[in-house]
Amino acid sequence: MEVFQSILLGFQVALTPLNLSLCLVGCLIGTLIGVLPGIGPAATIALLLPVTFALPPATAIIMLSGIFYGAMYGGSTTAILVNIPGEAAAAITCIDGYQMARQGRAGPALGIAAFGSFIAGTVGVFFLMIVAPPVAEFALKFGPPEIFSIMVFGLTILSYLSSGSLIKAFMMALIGLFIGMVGIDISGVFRFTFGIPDFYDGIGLVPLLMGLFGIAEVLTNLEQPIIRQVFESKIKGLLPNREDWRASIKPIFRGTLIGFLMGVIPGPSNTISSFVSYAMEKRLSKNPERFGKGTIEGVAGPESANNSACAGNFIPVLTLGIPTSAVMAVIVGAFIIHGVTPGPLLIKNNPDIFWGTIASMYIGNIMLLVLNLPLISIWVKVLKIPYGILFPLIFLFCFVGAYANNNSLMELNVMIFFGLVGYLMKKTGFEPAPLVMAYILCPFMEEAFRQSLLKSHGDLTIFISRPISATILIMAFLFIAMNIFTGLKKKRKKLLEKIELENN
Amino acid sequence: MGKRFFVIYLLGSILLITAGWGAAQEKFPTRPINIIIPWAPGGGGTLNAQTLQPYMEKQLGVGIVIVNKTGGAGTIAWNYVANSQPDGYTVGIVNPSLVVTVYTTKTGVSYKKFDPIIYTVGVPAGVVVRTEAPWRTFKEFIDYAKSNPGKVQMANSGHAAMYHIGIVGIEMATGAKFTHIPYKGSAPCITALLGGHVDASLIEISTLLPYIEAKKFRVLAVSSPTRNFALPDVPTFKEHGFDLDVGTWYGYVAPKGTPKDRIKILHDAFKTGMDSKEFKDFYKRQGGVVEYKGPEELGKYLEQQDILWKKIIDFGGFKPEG
Repeated sequence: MEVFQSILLGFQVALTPLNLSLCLVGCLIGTLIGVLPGIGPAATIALLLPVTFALPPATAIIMLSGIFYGAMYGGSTTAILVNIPGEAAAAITCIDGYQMARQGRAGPALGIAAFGSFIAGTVGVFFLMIVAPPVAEFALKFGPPEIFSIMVFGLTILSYLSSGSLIKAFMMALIGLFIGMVGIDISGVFRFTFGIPDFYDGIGLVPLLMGLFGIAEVLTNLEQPIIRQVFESKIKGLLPNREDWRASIKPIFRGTLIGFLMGVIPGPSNTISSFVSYAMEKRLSKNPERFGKGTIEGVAGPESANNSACAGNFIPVLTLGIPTSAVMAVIVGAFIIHGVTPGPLLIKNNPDIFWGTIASMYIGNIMLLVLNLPLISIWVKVLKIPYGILFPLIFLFCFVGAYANNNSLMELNVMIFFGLVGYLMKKTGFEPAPLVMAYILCPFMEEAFRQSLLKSHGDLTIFISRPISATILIMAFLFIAMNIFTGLKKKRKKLLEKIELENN
Repeated sequence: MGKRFFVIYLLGSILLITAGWGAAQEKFPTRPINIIIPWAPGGGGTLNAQTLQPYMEKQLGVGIVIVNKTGGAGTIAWNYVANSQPDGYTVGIVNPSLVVTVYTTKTGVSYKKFDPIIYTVGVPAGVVVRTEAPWRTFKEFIDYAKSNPGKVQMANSGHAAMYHIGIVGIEMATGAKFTHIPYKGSAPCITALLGGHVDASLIEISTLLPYIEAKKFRVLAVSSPTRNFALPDVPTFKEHGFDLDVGTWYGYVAPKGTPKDRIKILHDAFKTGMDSKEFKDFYKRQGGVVEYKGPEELGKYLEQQDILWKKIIDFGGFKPEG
């Protein structure tokens, strides 16, 4: 069995004392920066790259990868505790995770996020090992029309991202699409940039998230001094109990699968997969109305999805040398600078690096679990910090993070602006999740749409004449039809009940 | 806790301010030097600086801080450098995009606003197709594109970005006509080409080499005036009768008015890095031609590049946007 020999080789590489210890260092740093909002894995890996020059290539890659998936573990922490997504992918975790924390269940929320991440990470790496090359070949079939169809499918789940009014959710989505259009479009037209060069590449995701979630949350809380007692008085249990597990185990595995499959496709897959997982759980749940009010499935699914998406992300990089995200671009850079060529020949030319990195991810996931579980009791205490100190600290971290993101003061202004917008949205019952989802999808969707039409010289049938694209579009259509159907059925049932009541 | 934090913060600020004061003295450098990179980490420019970084730190005795300031097609970073104190502590990396964005954006910065320091390396661009593609030579490719205008789909790394203009340059020189499909960067172009969603592209050969080795891609011609050592069998544009040096290169500049002696100190530090085995080995693997050009030569080269790119931009009818 060639695969098993290769895996054995991988563990031989990963288990040397040097590689083990640097894997741990990477995981530690990753957890730390995942917790700090704004300071993302891409910047950190770039910063630490020169430090790894003296190390053997495999060791360097193992450490830098550890930072990446470690950050995905840490990203949920601030989302749950103080409603700031440490990573974009954790935006959806804010919804139910933060509500759980407010109900005194921060411990179980953090716990299930850690366990979910662990299970998803491990299973994802297993998939990565078994199916990497064929999956990579399949992913290449996704040209512009297919990517457009996937984004359309993504938009159909919007209705699940809101627990309130559907019309308000759609309004938010439209605003999200609008914000996503700011910047230079693919044909070189400048849209809504107001002559400000900082907007040429669009409105930054990090300041937008920190504003809408973090700053807005602090502003709202400043009005309500009473809530603090809720936080302080009842912190029930540090780990998920049996009931939590029963509710979470299926979402974790579904999230893992979704994350892995989407991770391979180019684009913001970590984020989208967590949104899709959330929508799916809500759709499958017997009590969808509990979502948005602190249900554990709403944390378990998305957190698993974004971690297995990490494993999926590595497939195009390790097998084809193609980065699918900013972080992966830096990892490719790390390969190159260490004299290793990422690309189709990596497995053949550098099997020690390929399999060593993959094996180190197993080990790293175990390290992360061991590292994160004891931290939960410390994190939960963060909630006991008096608001007079906690709020300025949140502001401080948001400001530092927004600036560090791109060394730009404009990002601070954007964050403050969206902080105020988020505050007003909260006051008027608008939810940020549909806005964020639409904003993230928009640039990819538009780019793919226009590339497709350039390819077909303006012929719209390109979207239905290609089998993969057509299948995805039909799925999206069926999804909407199904929802309308169940909606009508519910209405009819209600009407029938009403008639029966009247008849009696 | 809040109080202690404040005290530390205050102390830190005082230290920073006093450090700034020290810089006014003659000795140079006494504090860290910032290299401003207009592109995201992981790209060619950042890697160039990161390879030089340890050698410069050793020679200068201060830290070299690599700052990635993306956005505005690079113009944010170049504006930042051009408007920085000309004290030698802020240095910027430049490539052909500097002279391109002057004509394609409203925020572009003229090369005349900088004092050149050093030119380090040039990486030719290659016209690339899949191995299964019907065209065996550049001539066949161009002949097909000429007799079937708009049939060949060419991926570029962004509208009005340097490789798009490079492709327009090929149209200008040969009379061929392509359909341009813009992507965001070189990596998505590679994906599109691998998947067969486009027919060809123009990309720096450093990115292409692994796919050529894996027999996925074939390069039909390179942009450099002489053949590249990594692709000795691939002819140049010049061999096909036209001169179109639209490859990329990396040089370093300082804000206009930086004292000559400080430029010299920086130049010497960069040169040490350039002469290192690591730097040379790095570009040997990448097909990059390490070539030294001092401040004056880089100044002249910028002038030539400005003329070359402007000619194509005028031909393509690109207008400054913003």
